[in-house]
Amino acid sequence: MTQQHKVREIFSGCLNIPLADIQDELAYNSRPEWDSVAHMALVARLDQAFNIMMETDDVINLSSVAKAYEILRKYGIDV
Amino acid sequence: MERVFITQSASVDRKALVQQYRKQEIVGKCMVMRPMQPEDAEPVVRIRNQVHARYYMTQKEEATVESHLAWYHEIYLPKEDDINWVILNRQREIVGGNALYDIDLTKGSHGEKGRQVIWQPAALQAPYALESDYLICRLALDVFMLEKVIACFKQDAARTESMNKRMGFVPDGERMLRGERYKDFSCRADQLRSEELESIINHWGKRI
Repeated sequence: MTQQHKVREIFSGCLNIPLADIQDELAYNSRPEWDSVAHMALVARLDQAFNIMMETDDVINLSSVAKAYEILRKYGIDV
Repeated sequence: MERVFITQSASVDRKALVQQYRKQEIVGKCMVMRPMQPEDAEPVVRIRNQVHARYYMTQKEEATVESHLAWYHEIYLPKEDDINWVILNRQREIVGGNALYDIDLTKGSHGEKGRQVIWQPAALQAPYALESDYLICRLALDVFMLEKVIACFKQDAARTESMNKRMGFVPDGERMLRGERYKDFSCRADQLRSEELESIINHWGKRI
């Protein structure tokens, strides 16, 4: 499994959206399923899966799947 | 996560418990819920007057400190079936509010959670919305032993609906309020997704 696939699986589980619908362009404002609880779950699952602790600015900037890749790279994750 | 509240026995005076919690803070992992006080008026009004909050609360006019205090003293204080809290962050700054109201302890007991509003700049800094809603559900179901908690929101409040479903709420009818259609959702103790929600809250408790 690639790291990007792992990220997409996390998005799918936290947003309750089928994995096939998790595209890099999927953004915070584009789906009602991405509510504040989903966002909190997303941060928790990404932290746990990649053994990191995202900084607050990154939590706020986590606004799309593509942005998640970019943020994870900051923490040395090869995604 | 240890249980925040002690589940009550059937013989407890639930009316007295409601009154007790109108004065007692609830300490969560990421925030504190403190019963609303008159001195909270300025930040509460500022938070309630956010555009999105006014829309979803169907609040046509901007609230003022004077109108808030009039509501507090004339309507809220005399009531015995309402608890309004301010949400404090770890620095004990007010970052939002939440409520459990129309608490009905008779047969088919229930209470309604709502009036939740979070200061937008703080909304993604910690799970204030999630943890306050979750603690309210636990208080209602475990301590007040209500049969269910109701959430009522505008039919176009898609994110609120999504959030409530995620917590375990299920559709429970519709109603018209102030000329607008609202959806009712409800949650019983066995429907609340405690394990999943506590896992998220616990992680955030370590983060902040």
